[in-house]
Amino acid sequence: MSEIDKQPPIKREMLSEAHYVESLMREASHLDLISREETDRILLQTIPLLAKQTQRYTKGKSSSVRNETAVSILQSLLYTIGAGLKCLPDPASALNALKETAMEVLFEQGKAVISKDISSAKRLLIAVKANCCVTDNIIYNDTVQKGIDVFFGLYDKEFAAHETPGSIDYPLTADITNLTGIEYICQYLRVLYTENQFCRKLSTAGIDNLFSRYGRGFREMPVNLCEQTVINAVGCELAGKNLLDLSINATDRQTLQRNLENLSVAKLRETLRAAAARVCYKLNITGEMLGNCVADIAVELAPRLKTALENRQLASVFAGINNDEPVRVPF
Amino acid sequence: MENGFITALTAVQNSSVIAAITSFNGHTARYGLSLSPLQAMELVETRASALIRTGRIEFGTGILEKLIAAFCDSPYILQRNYAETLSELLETFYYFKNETYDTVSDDELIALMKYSFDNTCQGSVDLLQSRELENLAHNIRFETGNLSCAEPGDDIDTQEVYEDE
Repeated sequence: MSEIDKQPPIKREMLSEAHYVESLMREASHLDLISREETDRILLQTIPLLAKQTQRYTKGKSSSVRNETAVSILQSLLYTIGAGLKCLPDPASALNALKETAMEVLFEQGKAVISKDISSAKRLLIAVKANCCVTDNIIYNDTVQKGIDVFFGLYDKEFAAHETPGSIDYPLTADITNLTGIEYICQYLRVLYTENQFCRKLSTAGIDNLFSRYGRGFREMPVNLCEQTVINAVGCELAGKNLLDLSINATDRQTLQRNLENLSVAKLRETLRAAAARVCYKLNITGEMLGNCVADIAVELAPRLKTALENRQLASVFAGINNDEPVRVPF
Repeated sequence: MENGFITALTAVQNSSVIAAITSFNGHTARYGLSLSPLQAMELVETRASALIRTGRIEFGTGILEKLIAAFCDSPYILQRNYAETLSELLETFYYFKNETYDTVSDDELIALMKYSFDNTCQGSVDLLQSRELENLAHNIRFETGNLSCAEPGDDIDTQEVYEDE
């Protein structure tokens, strides 16, 4: 058994996505997996790399830069190295590479990964635009049609790889704020593509009707289109209705109230998960990512649904389409 | 981690900078100027504190060598004020790198400093700071398009500065 096998492994979830190298070194130091000498060697190898990058940044015209500029270049450099290390199977392999490979080599490997990510994000954006939802929501349309393009125009992979410029205002169902830079954009586009896939399984008229309940304000609302659509699809499934029209009226809500009011939150989670699985089956959803996305939205609804059931306010969860029914704006 | 880098950077660089600037004594000897190891160390300390004060980071031997090379032939620098003047020029340099928003390159700023120091300021670092370089910074801040140190109408030809170099 090698020395490293005897040590407790570094848990991936303990490492920061945005500051992978720093958190890896911190965690390794905490677990005594890296010596002081090894840490110093990594630091000392990074200095000439930082100096070289800074010189490239100033185009050789300045030997000094402001602290914030140097820190930003350093963060970009470490982000790039981190992007390469994340491709390795686990944190132990990443730590091994950090200890045994020259920082300059790791930097070049990271740059190759980032370039590849940029290319794949550009291809994903084309796919997202080609499969976007038809909606009046300005925030969705601006983000998909313009905001992400701004990112590619402004993204500086050389000196600010860790930054996420652009105008990306449309909220996703998944929280990916732990990511930054091109990793954020790649994940954003993956999730957005998945969410769009779900919405496109349903009728545009049904989704339009669902959101027409918000009135004119809907056009400028930072509201996720997929989340409410999934919720109503699951609601329709639980009420025994056709999924495609997404409509849940007062009678349907009475049925849901009757069927669900005695269930605990845990039981509600199970019920919602099963309903989400049936929705996926009926809509012929086979992709794992989309299936998980639908299941996550449904399961996370359980505590909110329990409260709504206790207060007999199911309209706040399952939106109806009749104009006489009140709408609760979720913010 | 950034703090670790900055501390390590300072420690690694200081010793190499002292060696580099004392090796310049051979070149400056023809002007009757030299720096003792103690003066070299004090200059390096001045450099470190000026960088901290101005919120800047420098790599390599930095600007000290360039300042020595540019100013050693100035008629206003003598052995008795050599180290002190270099120290003041060093602080002035970093301060005005910030004040000019890093839009002026090292070589351009040193050339402008040297020209003004030898001509309009007649060897006064105070005048260089408070009049000439302030004007330069003002011109950059307000985008007047005039990158000379002198105020408009003073008829200083910046072209001459570069020709002098």
